[in-house]
Amino acid sequence: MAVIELQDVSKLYGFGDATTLALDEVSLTIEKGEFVAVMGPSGCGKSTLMNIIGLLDRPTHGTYSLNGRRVDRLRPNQAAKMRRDTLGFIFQSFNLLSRMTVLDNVAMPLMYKGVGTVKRQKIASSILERVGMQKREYFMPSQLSGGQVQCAAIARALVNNPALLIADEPTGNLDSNGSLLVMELLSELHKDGHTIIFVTHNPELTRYASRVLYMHDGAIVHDEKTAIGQVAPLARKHMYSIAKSSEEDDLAGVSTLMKALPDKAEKRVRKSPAKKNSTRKKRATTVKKKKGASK
Amino acid sequence: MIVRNVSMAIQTMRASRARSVLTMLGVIIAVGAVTSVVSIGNGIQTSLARQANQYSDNVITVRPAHLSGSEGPLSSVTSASAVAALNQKDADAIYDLTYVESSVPLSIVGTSAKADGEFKGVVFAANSDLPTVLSPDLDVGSFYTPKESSNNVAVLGANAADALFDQNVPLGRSFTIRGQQFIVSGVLSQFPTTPFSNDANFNNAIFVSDSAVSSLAPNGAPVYEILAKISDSKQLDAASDDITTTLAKLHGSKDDFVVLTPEKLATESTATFELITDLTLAAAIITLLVSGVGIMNVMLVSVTERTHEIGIRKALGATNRQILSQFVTEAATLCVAGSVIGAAISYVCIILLSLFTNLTPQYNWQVAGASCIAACLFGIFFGTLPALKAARKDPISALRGE
Repeated sequence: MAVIELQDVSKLYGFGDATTLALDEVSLTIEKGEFVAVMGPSGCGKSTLMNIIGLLDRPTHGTYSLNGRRVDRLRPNQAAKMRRDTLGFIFQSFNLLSRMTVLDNVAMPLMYKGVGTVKRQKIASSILERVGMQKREYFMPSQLSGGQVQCAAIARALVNNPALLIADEPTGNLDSNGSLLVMELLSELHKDGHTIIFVTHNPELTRYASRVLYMHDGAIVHDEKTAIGQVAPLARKHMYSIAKSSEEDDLAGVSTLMKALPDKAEKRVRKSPAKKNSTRKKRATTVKKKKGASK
Repeated sequence: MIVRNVSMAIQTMRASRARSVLTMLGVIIAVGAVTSVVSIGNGIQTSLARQANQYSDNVITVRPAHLSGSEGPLSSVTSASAVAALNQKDADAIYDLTYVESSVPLSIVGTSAKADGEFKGVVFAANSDLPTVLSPDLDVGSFYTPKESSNNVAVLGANAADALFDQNVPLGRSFTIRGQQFIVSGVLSQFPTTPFSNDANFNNAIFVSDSAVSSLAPNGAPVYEILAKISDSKQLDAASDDITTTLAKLHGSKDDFVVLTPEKLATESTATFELITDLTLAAAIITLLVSGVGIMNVMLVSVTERTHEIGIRKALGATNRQILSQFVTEAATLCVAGSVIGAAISYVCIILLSLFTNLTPQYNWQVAGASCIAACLFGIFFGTLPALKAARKDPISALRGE
């Protein structure tokens, strides 16, 4: 059974002329045990996609099934319970509460589930052992290195035994050692059967993934299965071999991508020939404009 | 759930100590003030009631109407026109009634006396039955007996003795009132409160034998009050009615005097303190309210400051209600801690007061408890608005905001 099933999910922000299309009829199925990397330039809708998958946000259109259950129209409190029980979040900036020990941080999701203090700490402690942090469970987050803090955050995400781990640039704030630590840990978790979806800007990290998604302007423009241990060829060749620091770089990357990929509009038409609406046209014109600008 | 929230709240309070203490300060002051004031007031009321009972179990007080109100300051004691309503004849008439054992008119015969030093206060002329109604303690000496009454003898109030004489035991010494010599036969112990009177101070008075009336005030002295001792305490009401009718017959009307039984007297003398207590209580409640607003303010700041934390908690699966209860508990914990500290401080204050002053405050546990509960309610009430604000935050924007 698919863990995630998105069907024509769109997300609009704002009203009237100020409407922004953050996600444009994205359809995506993620099976249990997959390790998915999501790549794409800033503002392409990766975070919006993660927020919708993570039930922090609701799609404007489309359906979303998590573990076979429709979740696109959940009320905030139902969504909170769903997040607590079936999802694990890993953030770029770790987001551990600085006033609490690592152990208390890891135990926090259990607290919201209503697990008693002793049992909670026991579970948290065993999870910390799993990520190799048991010796540091009474440390404060500020006493740990970035990589260790992120490992603790991963432990926190794991503590409710979630169906899916969502990591939004888990290595974005880490040096290469920290990145290695975190990615090796995620890779081990994947081997243990966890389903993981992570966003990254670093093409090197796609070597851990079993599947790579490329996003652009709110749509998934390319989706490929890759062998674990190999960097996805497309990722290295064209898109992100240099760090993006400005909008111009982003645009340059985009135009290269557009040239490298089979025609995007055509592909989308092929995917869902019956549906053609004004929003898609709008998007197509934006892409053209951007092409022009980069030249 | 509650235990968890409280421990979380304590953790937060520890993290920002200065702010927590400042927030609690309002509650501490309010609860401390309420408890202390009510306790002191209670102490005074109880001691008044005790005094009234001690002196006046069977004593009915008759006063000129002008003096009966609580508005009369000491100066009105000497205002002859006000006092002229009662006289020696009234006292005699009362003495003749059934149940009346003794009747003591307190006549004002002077306002100053001279010996080593000068005394300013009230000189009362009273017959030798005064000890039976007043049952006073004497530091030294004894009260004048009926035999001695014809001589110029006097018993001094404690302050009067201090003012007149340099020595501690002025027994047998003499002093002068309006040129007349009097000999000291005794000195009264300090009265904690003045019995039968809320505007005269017996510590600052001299009692001379009633024979002095004729020599000091040949035209008759104004009577400040008449104290009548009743033989049977069950007949107090009957006796007071008798006195009222008798005096009304003598005076032609009931308007210029009042007859007070011990009960009435007690209510009258505590009324003023009750009023003061009530006023302070009102002020303290306002303080409590203001401190509640302070808590609301601090909680609002706290919620804004911890937006990111709220975002994290929500992302990890905290429901709106869980966030709400976390922040409400935090506000309530601040209030409870503040009120407990306030109650403890007032307890210490009261112990110190009873040690170092002659007040005997009684710590009022009910008021302490009630003000703690009130503080909690205020905390919950004023904590709800900021907590609602926290609970309704959108997780995505909360996560983004630092």
